[in-house]
Amino acid sequence: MHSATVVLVVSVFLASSVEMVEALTIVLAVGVTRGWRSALEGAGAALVVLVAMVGAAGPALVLYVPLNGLRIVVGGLLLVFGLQWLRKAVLRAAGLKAKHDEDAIFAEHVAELRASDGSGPARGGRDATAFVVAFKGVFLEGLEVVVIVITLGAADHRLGLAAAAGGAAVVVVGGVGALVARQLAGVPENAMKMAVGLMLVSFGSFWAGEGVGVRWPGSDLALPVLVAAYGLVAWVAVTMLARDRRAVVDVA
Amino acid sequence: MSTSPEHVRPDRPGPPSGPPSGPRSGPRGIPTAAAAVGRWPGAVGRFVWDFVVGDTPELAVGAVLVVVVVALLAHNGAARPVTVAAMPVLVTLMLGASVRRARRSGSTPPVEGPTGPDAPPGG
Repeated sequence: MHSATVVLVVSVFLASSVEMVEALTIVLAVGVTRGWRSALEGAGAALVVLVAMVGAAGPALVLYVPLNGLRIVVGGLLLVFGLQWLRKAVLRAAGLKAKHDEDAIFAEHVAELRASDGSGPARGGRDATAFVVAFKGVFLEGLEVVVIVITLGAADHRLGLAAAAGGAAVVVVGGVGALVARQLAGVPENAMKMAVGLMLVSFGSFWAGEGVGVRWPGSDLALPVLVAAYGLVAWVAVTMLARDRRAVVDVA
Repeated sequence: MSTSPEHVRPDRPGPPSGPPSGPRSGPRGIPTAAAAVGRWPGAVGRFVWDFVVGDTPELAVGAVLVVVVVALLAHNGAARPVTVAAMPVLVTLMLGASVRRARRSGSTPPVEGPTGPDAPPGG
């Protein structure tokens, strides 16, 4: 398989998995406290809207926007998103920022939902609060996945593949969540975020570079090289930050 | 993605928290619906700003600058190795500067949760 294709599929799958773990935590909190019917309806409605957004915006971008312009804009967006993911993952890995604790987040959501309104489901089994919270959770966590699917898929003219990778992650995370019936606190989220950040920054550099006229050596083969180079940078950054932090703690 | 003191994102779901704050009608008695429509573009703008820029404006501005600098190099006859190397080098410098900024602004790991300091896209 083409190296760019592999990086694209892995990027979208990991990004989608991370966001879906966070969405799953919210849906489970809603389901446990307010009932499953409205929680699942809210989550399902959000997924339908997200898929519709990919279906509406993706093909339009591919068909009507000139490729070089698209790659500059897409590359710039991916650079921004990727650097945000990578920065956060580096800070967390170095111990300068707390790691995402799905157990704590789940407990806080449950407490909030229990405190918010004791009315529970209305007649007919529908609970507006549960629906809205589940919808909002899945929609907002999924929105960035939609942007990643559309940008990566459109810039590489592989929208279907990108959407399939994102959909596969939703199915896998949802399936595992349903099987274990709890939020996936054991998922190594920071490592996954680090990987996604590296890939988004690499894609961003690659597409933005191509869009403005950079001719990468080896064409698509430059992508794994960029991933490796940025990976090295991230490792050095984490090592240096962690060492500095230990030195500060030792002095204190 | 979440809300945080350093970076408020409209994306951390929580239970609906009662009626929205602020006036129920616009200036000079504009009806509620019209006032809501009038506020809508601003709300969308704030959402997009938070979504793309968030608490790291240096990364958004830096990404644009990197693309512009590499474009200038590529279109002004710089040698190919220079244009190829410029992108990863500039991106690395930008990441380093942003991490240093974060390190200076706070060295204690904060508690993270729905109301804790987190924020990213992809938070």
